[in-house]
Parts: sequence; C-alpha cells; structure tokens
Amino acid sequence: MADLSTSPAETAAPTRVRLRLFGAFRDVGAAELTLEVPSGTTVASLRTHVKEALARMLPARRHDQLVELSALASDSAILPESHLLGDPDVCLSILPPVCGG
Amino acid sequence: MSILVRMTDEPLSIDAFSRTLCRDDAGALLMFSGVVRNRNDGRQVLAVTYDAHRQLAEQTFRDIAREACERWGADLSLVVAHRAGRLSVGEVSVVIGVASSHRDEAYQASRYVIEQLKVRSPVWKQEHYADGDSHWLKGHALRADGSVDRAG
Repeated sequence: MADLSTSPAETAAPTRVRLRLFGAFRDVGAAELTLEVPSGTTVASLRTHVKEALARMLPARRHDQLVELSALASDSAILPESHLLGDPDVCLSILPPVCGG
Repeated sequence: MSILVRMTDEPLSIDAFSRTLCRDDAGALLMFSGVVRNRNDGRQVLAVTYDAHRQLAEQTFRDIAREACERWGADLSLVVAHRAGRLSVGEVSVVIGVASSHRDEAYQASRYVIEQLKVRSPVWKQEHYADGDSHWLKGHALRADGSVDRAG
C-alpha cells in the first residue's frame, strides 16, 4: 500500500538562494544575502522571503516597496514572475529600477 | 557591424575609443560622453557612485547596439562604455561612439543608444551631496518581457 501521509513536495529539500544585492539594497550593509525557501518557490513568492530577510537585516528601514519594484535575474536574463526556482542551489540578483548613463 | 561594449572601473578614454572607430569609409564619427555634473534637483553634488550588474549591463549594451545597427545600417561601428565606482564632478561616466558613412545615422544611433541604456541597463546612481547626505536615484523598473516602465 502506498504511503499517502506525505507528498513529494513536502519531503523535497528546500532551495538555497544566494541573492546578490544592487543599488539601494546595498544600504543594508551587505553585497548579498542567503535565503532558504521551500522547494517550488516562484520568483513572485520569493519576494516575500526577500522582504522578510531585509527587514531582519535592517529593521529601521523597510524595503518592501523597493522589492516590489525590482526585477529578479539570473546572470543572463531577468526572470518572469512565474519562474520556478527548481535547483537546490540558485544564484540570483535583485535589480532595483535603473538609472544609469 | 562592429560593436565594442565595456563596463569598467577604469577612467574612460574618449580618444582611445574614438581610435577604435576610425575607418576609411566612415564619413561621420560621433562621440557622446556623459559627465558627472555639480547639481541635480537643486542640490550641490560632489560625486556620484555608479553600481552595476556588469554581466547583464554589457549584455544590454550589446543588445542595444545591435538594435541600432538593425535600424540605421549594418555598416555602423559602435562603442558603448560605462564606468562603475565613485566618480567626481567632471569625470566621464559613459561613452557612446558611433562611426557611419553619413552623419544622420550617427546622430540617430547615438541618441537611441544612450536613451535605451538609461532605461534598460542594470546600472544605478548614488549621488553624494555637499551637506554630507547621499541618495540612490529613482529609475525605470526592469521587466522580464523587456518593456519599460518609469518606477518610483
């Protein structure tokens, strides 16, 4: 008889995200932060984890709006909100609204 | 089509980039340089720190330069170079160079490249003011579909 007490998603290992910080996010005093998120997390839901992590690092200043306005990217492309963080170890960047030149 | 892109910590040499663009069949050689100025929004600026995701920035420079060639001719030669780090007033932050057969294409391509760079390239500016304060400037939100949005 199959064991139905746990689903594959519940037993899947969490995803470790190394998130590089750019622009105004550098004010938290670090170039990157590391998060552990549930397997199956999307880019959209990763934002919640990022907000919580930044709030822990710098409680005096909220970055929620900036996180919402920022893009999440791999080293080669900006990722859509539906993108699934599939690998157990992922390196991403959070890119605030840009103003170069 | 010839494209040179660079995201660097080193001072940008307009002369050096200009020399890379020289060719016998180019009747126009147009160099634009963006320079740190001493005032913005009524505040006295002493310096600007530029931050960048270098790999993605160079990729966007390359994409934008290719688009310029598609629009204004495959015979364009382009340089797109941006400096990162802390720059004082008067220092060059960005160089756009275009060589073309005729001047009309050079002017249009140059303008296109700098305007696109400002809204698409992952580069950020932190201004440092005479009163000791510093501020990261607002900008344009990046989107996965490549569309452009003015953000807060």
